[in-house]
Amino acid sequence: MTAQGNLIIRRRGRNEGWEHEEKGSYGVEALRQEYRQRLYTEKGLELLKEKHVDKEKARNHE
Amino acid sequence: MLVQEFKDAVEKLTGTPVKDVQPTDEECLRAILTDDQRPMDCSQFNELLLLVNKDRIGRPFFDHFFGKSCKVGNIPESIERFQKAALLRYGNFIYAFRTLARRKSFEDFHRELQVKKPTDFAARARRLTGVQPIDREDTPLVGYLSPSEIIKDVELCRFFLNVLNARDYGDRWEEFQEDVKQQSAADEQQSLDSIVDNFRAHGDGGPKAFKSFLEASLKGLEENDARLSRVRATARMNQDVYLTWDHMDVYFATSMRKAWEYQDLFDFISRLMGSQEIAALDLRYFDPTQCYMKNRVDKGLVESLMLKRAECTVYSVQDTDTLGKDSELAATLAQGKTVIAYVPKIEPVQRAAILVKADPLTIFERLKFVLYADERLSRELSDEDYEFLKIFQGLDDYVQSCIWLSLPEIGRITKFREACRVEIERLCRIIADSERRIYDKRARTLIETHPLAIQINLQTGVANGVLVVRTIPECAKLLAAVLNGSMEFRLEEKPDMWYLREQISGCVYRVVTKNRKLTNCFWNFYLRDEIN
Repeated sequence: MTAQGNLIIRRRGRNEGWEHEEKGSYGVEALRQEYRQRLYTEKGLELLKEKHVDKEKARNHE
Repeated sequence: MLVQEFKDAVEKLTGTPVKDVQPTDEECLRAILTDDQRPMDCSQFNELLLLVNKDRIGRPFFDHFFGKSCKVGNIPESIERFQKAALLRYGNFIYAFRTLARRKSFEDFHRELQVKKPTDFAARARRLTGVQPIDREDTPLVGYLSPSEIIKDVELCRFFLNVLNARDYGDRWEEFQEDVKQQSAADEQQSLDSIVDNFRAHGDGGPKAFKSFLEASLKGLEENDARLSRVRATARMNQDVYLTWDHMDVYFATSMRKAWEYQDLFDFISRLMGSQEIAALDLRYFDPTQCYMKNRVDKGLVESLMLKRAECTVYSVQDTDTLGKDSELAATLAQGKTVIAYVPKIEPVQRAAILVKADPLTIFERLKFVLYADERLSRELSDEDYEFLKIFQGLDDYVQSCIWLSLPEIGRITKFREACRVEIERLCRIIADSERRIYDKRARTLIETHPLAIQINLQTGVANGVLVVRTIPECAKLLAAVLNGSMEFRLEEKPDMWYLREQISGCVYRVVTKNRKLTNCFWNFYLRDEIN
């Protein structure tokens, strides 16, 4: 290991944004949908949808 | 003037050797040239040319380069004026002489020489539409990296809140984390875990306290999210404004990823365009920190159109030199337009003072950058500074413990600065010294070593060199000269090359090689048809 390599290897850095798969468009909503697909498992997405449906129902009820 | 000096001057004028001059002709020349004050008009000069077996020149040629009050002693400087014009217009002395010397009418001569009339900027109509300014702090939002961090943070925060709102976990972290695991994909576990771990390291209050923290954070994160959409909407409108402008004077070529790169470019453009000589011209320029195009293909098409339309490109040398920026440089040179490359001259003391005030995350990123980019860093450091870099862990710990990527924690930043003030000052000095080495090397590469710092106008074959400046006042002076058509040059002859150097930057702008093989092959592909 070189002296400089030694300095580099010790610095792990931080988490960053993610590497988008959607290279054709940098639109905010497209990126958001892509990240949600990446973040949630199927179960997580189901729960998110259910929650969204519940919210809609509550809003309609009001 | 000596006969030999005259023969040398004529070789420079015609681009070809002077041959077979008879002793009687030499004697004749000697008698004429001995008096430097002897007036010389076009027909007399033509007689001198015939004495050395060269073609005559037309009056427009003589009047333009030699002038009506030419004397024998002025012949060398007049020929130098011709050489400069030949380098600028043709990149070829022989062709320039043959083409220009034969022009009979002044109009035809000036059309061929393409002497550009300076633009009367004051007479130009004012623009009908202007861009809506995007603040310095918001400029990273028109980019690629910052939005992904904002979206990631807000979605992670909402994800946690969804899990926490579904049931009451009390103090039971394990159950909470198990549910997080069930509902999140494996690739994002690390990001999720680091948020929980960092929160717990700051003072654990159980999932309930975590929920309160998330609710408080969500406000700031959603504000960022909304700001992102607002800024992008403005940037999209600005893009349309750029597309409709009838003039485009300057294109700014850049590659920006990190937030500070947008802000640095914003500062550079503001200072450059606000400088006295430039502000007076009321220029129209394409500023990449102020516009945004959603689709990458459209973005590429827009930038290509701007490169075609702009009179010149200002290439801002930043941390990363990318395909995009280098292509923009090449596309400008290939059109025969001027590229000014601005490589900031780093003053380490001033730079360190600015860095110290930056967000610790920015300082950390700067450190990582110089570790990769400055090959000489470890050799240039004193033993003490090397040891310091090796053992100082405070900044790394701070960075690792940040909960959000896009939401600065002001209280923690203040605490960190107070606790590590001396170390941060030392680190910033090291980074600033290293940045100076990196940018000096980049400038040297462009000025002295990179073969593609001189490319050719693909239509004419004329070599076109990048002009490198190191300060904003220099850049402003040069940009004004480019646009006003008032650039000044110095001619330089070396054993293997003729150079035309631009005076403000001192950089090579045009060249003529003395390599015969290359010259012959090269011009066969450019001027051959016209010669025949």
